[in-house]
Amino acid sequence: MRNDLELDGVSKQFGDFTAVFRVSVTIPQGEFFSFLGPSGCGKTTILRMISGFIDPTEGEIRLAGRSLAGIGPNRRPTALIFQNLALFPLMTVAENIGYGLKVRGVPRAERDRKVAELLELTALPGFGPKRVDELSGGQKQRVAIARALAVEPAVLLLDEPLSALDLKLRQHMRAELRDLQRRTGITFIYITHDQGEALAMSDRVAVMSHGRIEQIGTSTEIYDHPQTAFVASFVGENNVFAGRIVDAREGYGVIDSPAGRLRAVNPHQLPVGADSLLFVRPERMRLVSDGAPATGRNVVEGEITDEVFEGLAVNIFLRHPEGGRPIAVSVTNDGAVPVLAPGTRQRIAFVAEHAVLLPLGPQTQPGGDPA
Amino acid sequence: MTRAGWRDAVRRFGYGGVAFIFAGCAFWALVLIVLPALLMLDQAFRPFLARTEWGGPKDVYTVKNLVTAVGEPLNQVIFLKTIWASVLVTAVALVNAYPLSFILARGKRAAWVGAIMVGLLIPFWVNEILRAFAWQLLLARFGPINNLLIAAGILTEPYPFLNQDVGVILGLTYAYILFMIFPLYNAMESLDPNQLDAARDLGAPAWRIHWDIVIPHSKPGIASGCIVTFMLAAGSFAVPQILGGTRSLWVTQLIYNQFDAINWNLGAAYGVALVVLCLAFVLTMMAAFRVRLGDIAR
Repeated sequence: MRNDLELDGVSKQFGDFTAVFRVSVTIPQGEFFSFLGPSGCGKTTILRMISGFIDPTEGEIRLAGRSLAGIGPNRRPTALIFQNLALFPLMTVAENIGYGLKVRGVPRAERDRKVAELLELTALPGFGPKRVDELSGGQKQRVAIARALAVEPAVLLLDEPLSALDLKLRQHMRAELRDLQRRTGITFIYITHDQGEALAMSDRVAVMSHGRIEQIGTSTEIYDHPQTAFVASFVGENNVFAGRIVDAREGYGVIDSPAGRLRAVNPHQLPVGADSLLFVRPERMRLVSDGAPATGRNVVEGEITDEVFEGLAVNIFLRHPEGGRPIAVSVTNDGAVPVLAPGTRQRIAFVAEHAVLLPLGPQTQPGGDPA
Repeated sequence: MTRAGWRDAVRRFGYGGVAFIFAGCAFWALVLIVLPALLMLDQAFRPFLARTEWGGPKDVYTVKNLVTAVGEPLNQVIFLKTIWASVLVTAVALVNAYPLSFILARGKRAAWVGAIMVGLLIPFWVNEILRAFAWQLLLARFGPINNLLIAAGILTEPYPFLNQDVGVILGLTYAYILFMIFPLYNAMESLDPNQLDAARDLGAPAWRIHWDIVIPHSKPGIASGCIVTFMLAAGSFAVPQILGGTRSLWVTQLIYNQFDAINWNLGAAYGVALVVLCLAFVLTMMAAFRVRLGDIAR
């Protein structure tokens, strides 16, 4: 039987607070799956339920078809990598990695062999006798991974283990984790609030908000085809235009917004009269030079407020007719980006295929600080 | 201390402040600890003489007192009993304090932790002698504990807790258990709870988590708790006097008896012997359990 992990209507209630509400997802063996969401969205609670530290109030978690209910964390075929790694400071690197085997009564010789193998796998050869506090951040990370892999878990759970590292190392470790997952073929379940991490590493991502899964999909699906206003605004940058739908046909809809009539894909087939939000990414917006025709595209005109040079791209900001956050346009730095003085009027355009209409959900803004 | 350390201390406390700290520490160490110890050492090695013979031809250094103190079979029994019973007191205190400290340390900052701490402290606002007398009442032949045990059918007739070691060990454990709980609590409180979860997640059952993670982490606290409890128990006078009577003699009672009989020299010899024995015992234990002095000072 394949070690597929199923969450079936899993909920967790802490007193009056619903941390997780009816989460159902099947994670096939060997998948790199991420739960992405702001802090307090319930992702850590899900992780602790899978690892067995807390029990769901409702629903069932199954591995290879068998319920994990009543099986303590020390007897579950899952291994958890803690946010602060929780390496044992009084043990050497080798003792840390071999700990899970030692408590299982694996004989010393076999343990040593396995530890050496894992040190090799995690690119730490010869580090066995070192003390944990002699290691760098990235090396500690690898020890934590090796320690978890030593017990040959069916599912490896990772609780934002990269958050303590600096940017360069974090990007390096992303690639390393992805590579390790492919080589071992173990299911990785990754918890993060960092969308870059989730999108870069995962086969599939579940975006969570207020204890519910908003959308499950591949990184491309999540980024390019958000299903809810929360996903559209939480994952990546997005410009928002609010308005009532005045026309809806053939999978497209038109809203009447303060910025004018705008046409976009209408995946939920919202009817005429419905209040809706139109999302369009900054990199899908184009500057329209003076006098150029803009037929077949949505055109918005506004006053330039700022232009920020970021190397790879140049971000141009326009005053939003609805007020609030300015409209962002991200232009690839091809060496010909015009320098626009604040205050000048500028037209920008985007095609309907690159914009999406989503219902005005109960949570249109991402809750909490994503940082 | 480094040069920078000195500068920092002077900047924070001023020259007067630094001088005061040093004078205070020096007074404490030299006048209150070193000087009396030296005087006692001096007394222990001089013969017991009348006032008029002090400084006379008979007033020469001798090991006679020490030979009496540790040479007499009865004294030897009392010395060993004191050490053995103090070890027992330490062990009973440790066994009781360990789970309590662990639970308190795990309950981080919760209101009930504060309540229990206050509950533990309040009895110690009462004088030690009064608390010993309270135990005397509790353990008396027809006291509540005997009545309860008889009512529960565990005993058929009252057990003579008093005037023997059982009562003393109970009383001493109670008297000094806080000195065990606090170092243990302090040590355990600094343990990252994720360490416990990590060990559990890797498959360790509860006893292994304690053996591999909690105890090694708390070792300095356990060591300092044990040393303090042992030393206090071995040096206790009121509790053995009140609960042990004459049939459970403590070395401290021997010392007291000699000082009472004006034989300061023999009393001092008993004292020196007790200090040396206890220190030797503690150092042996520290070596056996691989505890370094630096660990305890943390």
